[in-house]
Amino acid sequence: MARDATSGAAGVLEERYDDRIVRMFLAATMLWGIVAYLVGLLAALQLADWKFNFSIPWLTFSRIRPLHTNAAIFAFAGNAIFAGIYHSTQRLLKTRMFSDLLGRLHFWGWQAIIVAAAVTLPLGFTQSKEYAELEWPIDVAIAVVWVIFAVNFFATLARRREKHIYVAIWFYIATIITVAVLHIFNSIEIPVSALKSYPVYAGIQDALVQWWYGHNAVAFFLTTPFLGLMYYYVPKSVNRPIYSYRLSIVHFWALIFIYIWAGPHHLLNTALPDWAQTLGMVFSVMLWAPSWGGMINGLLTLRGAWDRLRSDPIVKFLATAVTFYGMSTFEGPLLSIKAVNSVAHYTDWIIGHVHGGTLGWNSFLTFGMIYYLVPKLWRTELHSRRLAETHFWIGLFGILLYYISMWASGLTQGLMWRAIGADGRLVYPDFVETVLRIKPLFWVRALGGALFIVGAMLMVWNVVRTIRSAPAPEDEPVAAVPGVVDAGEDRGHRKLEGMVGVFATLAFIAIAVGSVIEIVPVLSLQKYIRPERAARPWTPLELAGRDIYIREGCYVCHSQMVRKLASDVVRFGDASTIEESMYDHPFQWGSKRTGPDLARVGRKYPDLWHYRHMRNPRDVVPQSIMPSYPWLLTRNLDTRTLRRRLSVLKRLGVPYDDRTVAEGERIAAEQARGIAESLRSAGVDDEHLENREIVALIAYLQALGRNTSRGETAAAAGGR
Amino acid sequence: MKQEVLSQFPHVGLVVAAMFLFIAVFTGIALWAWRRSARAHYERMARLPLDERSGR
Repeated sequence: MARDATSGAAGVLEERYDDRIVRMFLAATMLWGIVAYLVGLLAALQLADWKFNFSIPWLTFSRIRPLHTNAAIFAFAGNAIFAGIYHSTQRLLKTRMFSDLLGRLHFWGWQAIIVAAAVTLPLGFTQSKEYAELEWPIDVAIAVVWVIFAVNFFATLARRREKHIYVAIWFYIATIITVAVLHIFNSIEIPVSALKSYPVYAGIQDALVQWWYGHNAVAFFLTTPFLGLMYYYVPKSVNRPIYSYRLSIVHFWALIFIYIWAGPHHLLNTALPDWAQTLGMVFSVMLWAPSWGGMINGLLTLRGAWDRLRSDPIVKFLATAVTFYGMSTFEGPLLSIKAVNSVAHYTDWIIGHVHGGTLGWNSFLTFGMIYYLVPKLWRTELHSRRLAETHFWIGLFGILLYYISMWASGLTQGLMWRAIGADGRLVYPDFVETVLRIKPLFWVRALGGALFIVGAMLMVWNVVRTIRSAPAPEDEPVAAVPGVVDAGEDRGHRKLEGMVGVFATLAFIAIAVGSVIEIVPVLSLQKYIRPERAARPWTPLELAGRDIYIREGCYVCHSQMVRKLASDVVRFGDASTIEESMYDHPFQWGSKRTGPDLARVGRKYPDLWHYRHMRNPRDVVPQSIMPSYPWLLTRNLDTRTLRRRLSVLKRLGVPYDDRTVAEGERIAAEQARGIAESLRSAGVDDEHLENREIVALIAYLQALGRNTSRGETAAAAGGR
Repeated sequence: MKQEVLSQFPHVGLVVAAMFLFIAVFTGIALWAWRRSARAHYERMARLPLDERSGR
């Protein structure tokens, strides 16, 4: 590859950096940021008033919410970190990126993936694994594009003109390696059709692998790369070196080693073995130390320049972002303590916590970076500093409204769920009663989100005006870089910083240790299964219904996991067991209870109740905020791939016999006729009822909690 | 609680190995980072983002 560096004065070369790619990623960041925020606002309004679902399948909350999370994480935050990485890496390594072509392939490949996600998720093509919903062809594309990025990045490192790699680059290295490992292992799936697959993991395995991934998506997509950006842009913004370089070394190694273990804190008090829960909790609490070490390092970089906080919007955004990082990383370990988690889990407290991180930390850091970069890249002044100030205050107020409303909502609902009177009964037995109490707060949250979007739009307008006022684009900036790379002898960490391959290998080992110790024992699932409690596989019709449940995103609002807590057991029935989900590819334990848990809903209501509930939930629960799903009553069930689906699951270890696989459609049709008859006898008038999707969904819902001999016995005895 | 956790975890050797590995690596890195002789180097490293000579 030809180098753009040209000879200058003795011992000095002139290097042209590729800033065009930075501009492209910045533009994409702003575009997808606004999209992600707007979709989030729509979702917030849908929770405040169900009518905002418009009874349109692809606009329904349960399909929109995954679009919002994916857009915020991968489209907005993804493009932001790529912009920052491409910009800072070239300057820290004093060389142009290895290949412009690979950079463009990375950019356009990533945008194509985002567009594919924006089309497939609302259409219901989903694996239902949070932040990993995208179906298998897109998973493959993500892996390919990530490899292109990695090749370009490491090849740039190889030709750097600065021997030592600065701490920001270490965080980028850890990000690239770990995201690849997480994505590949969590996405091992067997395709059924062009846009449908089943993960190889089931039940508890799937839960642990998914949350090992899900938690570390937060750690290595929303934390480590942003810390890298913090270590570059905070010193740049105040023109001061980082407070303690030594602290940054300890921060880096401790953080990447500990973070990877913390995944099981998403599964506290569930059927996950206690040792894994405790391990996750202990390591989460340990995260306090490195996280706060990093925050202190970032904030104290401003020492001697605190006055800039008053006058410089860039410093305002960056310092506030680092403060939110400290608050979120204080709250995260707190929420990982089992007792606290028993109140907070499944409630809006978690939603508030997440948004404190994404809006306060990721978005504000990105805004600070954008305000810093745009005038530099377009070689002009920011159109209006005052507008940037306004953006800051509106955005901050929006976050506070969002966070406080969700914290109040979560705490209120969590405490209502667990309130048990002296007579041993629930004080608030109707789930919907706990929803109504927090509904006003959904409006406050929507208002907070709307304010945040107004601020972001002010930024876009400010940036557009800045760019318009810029002189015609000149050549790329020329930097003077050393002609000869320092080849002096080093020892210790200094030496390590010069050895990228060894450094990357050690970083890989740091994240691999926790991954292996946590996940390998759980992969041998059978030792946790009590044979006398083993589940039966879903019937073909139940399986078809389950796939509709996944397509519609029911897991977004309904858990299928009765925790080992008295209040859960009194409300929903016996605590869930590992066996009940042993054949669930993917698992459906869920992470949020906007509606009640469904693990024991089977036979709790008659078929007609479900039929009416899906047509319009308010027909049976007048105060319900659930969207209507009327299309399930008119769409015919697609059984063309049913045999293939059964066959794939059989290959994955679900004990279907050959007859069930071969005659799956016939068996499903037979069961459907039975349910259709029961509905007709209750007064449903539909000539083609047995062909409708609703019948398959009812079959699945009525089987929940009854797929083990224990569940059947409990149901027969009148339990739930 | 420790005993209870360990009694349910069949791979105790892994936990012990991980703990020692963690303590050793953490101590090693801390000692490495705070060596007196590395001071000048870290000062230079900390200034790396500010030393661009390109002005941008």
